[in-house]
Amino acid sequence: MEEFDPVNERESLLRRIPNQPSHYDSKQHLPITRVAFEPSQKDTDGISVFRELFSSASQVAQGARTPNDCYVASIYARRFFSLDLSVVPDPDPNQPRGHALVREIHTKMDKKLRKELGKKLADIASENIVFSPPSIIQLK
Amino acid sequence: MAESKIVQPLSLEFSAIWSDRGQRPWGVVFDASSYTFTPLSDFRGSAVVRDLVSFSKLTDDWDDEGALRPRIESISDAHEFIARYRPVPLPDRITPTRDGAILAEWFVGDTYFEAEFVGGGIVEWMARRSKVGPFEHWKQQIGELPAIQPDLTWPPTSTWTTASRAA
Repeated sequence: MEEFDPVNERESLLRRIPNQPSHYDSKQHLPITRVAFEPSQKDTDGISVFRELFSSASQVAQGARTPNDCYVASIYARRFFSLDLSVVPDPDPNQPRGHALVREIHTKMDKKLRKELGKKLADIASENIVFSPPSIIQLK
Repeated sequence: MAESKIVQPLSLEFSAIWSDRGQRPWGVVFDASSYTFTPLSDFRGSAVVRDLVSFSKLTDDWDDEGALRPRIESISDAHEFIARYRPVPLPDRITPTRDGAILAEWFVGDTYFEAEFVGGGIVEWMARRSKVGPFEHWKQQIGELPAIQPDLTWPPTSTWTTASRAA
């Protein structure tokens, strides 16, 4: 299996969720906000996910700009496909292995659709958080 | 503005007003008959207001992912909305968005409401009445919302204590 191979619907995809109240709010039943799935200004060609076939959740967290200061959520590829989203392999030597892009979510997309998709993905991701920042775990 | 009526209460405490034309909501109001008004002094100390004030201190790239700093006018609009429509329950969550707006969210059972303050006094609403239902969108100026207490505006910080006594 190579990083450029197409994403299978049964694959698990990992998304970094910054450890910020605006992205993750532990007080809510669905802690991840739709902001966590919004494209930033640099996301002109899609938002990033990582294929678990190539990188573990801890490796993805380690690759954050502030290493490990993030949550990681797992979403099956089929959940993206069911929302008419594609996941395109996009190996990047500056990122953990298995980098891929959700192409349809970018800065120039229709705003209403962006909000809806963000909310749906945030709710799905909230149900499967596979990595928490070590500082949070220690507090518990 | 089109004549409006309450079509379907979302809960005893939180109702949506829907316009007659196209059944599109034009505002969200609180059923004031069952609500105890929050004194402004308590209101000032709420986590929501504290959060809003803290957003003004954020800088570009505050999330390490390239987010823009929240626009002051968006923060100001969120302040004004919360103060002007104080009978509306305080948001369950309020956050900056990555493009500089302010997002307020309410979770009422399976119903989800959000108001995005994008600046210029504009509020972009999005709502979903069930976990799997369609989303609805509408947009309006803060001044177009039902004026429950039209004389209630967000006072400068220095006058909060005085204002709360007056209220």
